[in-house]
Amino acid sequence: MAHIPEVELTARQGAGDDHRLELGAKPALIVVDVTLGFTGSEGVGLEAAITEYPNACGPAAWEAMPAMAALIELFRGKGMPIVYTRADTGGQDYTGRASRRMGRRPGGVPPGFGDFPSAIAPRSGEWVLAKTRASAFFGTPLSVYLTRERVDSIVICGGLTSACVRATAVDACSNGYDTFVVDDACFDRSPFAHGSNLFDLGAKYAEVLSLDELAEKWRPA
Amino acid sequence: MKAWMERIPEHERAGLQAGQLELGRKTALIVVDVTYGFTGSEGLTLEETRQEYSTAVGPAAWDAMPRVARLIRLVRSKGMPIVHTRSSANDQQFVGRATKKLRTGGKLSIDFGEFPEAVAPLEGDWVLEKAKASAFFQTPLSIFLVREQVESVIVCGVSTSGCVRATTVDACSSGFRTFVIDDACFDRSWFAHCNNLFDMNAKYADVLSVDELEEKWNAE
Repeated sequence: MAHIPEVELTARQGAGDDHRLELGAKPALIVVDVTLGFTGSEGVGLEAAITEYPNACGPAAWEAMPAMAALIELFRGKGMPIVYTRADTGGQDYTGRASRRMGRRPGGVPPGFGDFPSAIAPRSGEWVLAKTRASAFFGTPLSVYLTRERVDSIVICGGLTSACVRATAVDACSNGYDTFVVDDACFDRSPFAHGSNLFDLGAKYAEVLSLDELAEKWRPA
Repeated sequence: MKAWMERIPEHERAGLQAGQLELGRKTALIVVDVTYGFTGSEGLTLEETRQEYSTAVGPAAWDAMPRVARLIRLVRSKGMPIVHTRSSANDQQFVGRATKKLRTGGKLSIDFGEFPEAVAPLEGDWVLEKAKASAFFQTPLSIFLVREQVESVIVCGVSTSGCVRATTVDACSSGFRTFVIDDACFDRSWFAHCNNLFDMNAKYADVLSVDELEEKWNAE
């Protein structure tokens, strides 16, 4: 919240934007694009990470990694559905990429782009959903799964806060789910964009809360 | 009169006149689900092939195969985009099958999603995995067609009454002039094949044979 002007925070309270949502009986977790292509390799600086993977967020991603891992464990412990998304780099040859840098990646997709860091890696029974665009809902069968699983609320973490996390959160809300964005389990290359997008999401589409706050909110089904 | 038209009651045949749609400048071909899971191995009877995969069509598939291959070659020779769909085994674990039936069998050593050689995708063709009947349903297909500035869509493959029909309706609904190639489509049920061609021709698409399409394309 360090980047949000004080006057905006005050105005927001007045507008009722801090309305709290109920975590339903069947929340699903969407882990957005936490692959090496967006994190970079562990332990390297932002510049080195970007050299390896142009979309990498570097240290910001790895700082969020323990919270993401804990959030995933929380869902596993409750037996609630978990969906991992990653870029469908094959499909993107035909549809273009998720952002306005639409063409094929110069030099192709760097090796390991779609690999999951071991701390958050999907397990058997967890869906790895390939997507071509920013939102995990756009041009994918995600909503079919949520309907069939009788999901009533959605928790989102991952990267980037200003891109795929935001787009997914907007569509989750638009599809009728009470939506939660876990701020310390999201990351962005730009700390400013991270903050300003959490501000928007919290004002309009989702309840933005920390991992601890979410764990506290959770009531057993 | 084509064989499938003979299934249509005589007093209903007025709606069968030749199509009026134009292909336009940019046409895409969608080859729907022509994989071993829906064809079965070559040279088996329907009974035999259903031991391999309950979804397999068998003889009708292999009868249509040379025309599917010819259609692909025709579209390729025009330099137009080709999309091959197949069912996504991974996604279907989470979102269910395309139809209400359970799939059984799987005794075939060949993978369900493998393409017969005669119709196999080439470099530059898009192999699009889908979970449900229509190739458009919650897939990024329409993005590709928009970006390629496609005006018309040609549909062939399997089954005429299932994924071909669902894809055709959505192609039409998405705003594309739509063509279904009757002798490059197949279905386990001949009855369903004929009825669905009749419906699609009446409502959503021009139904043409490969020969008719080629003639039309060369004349435009």
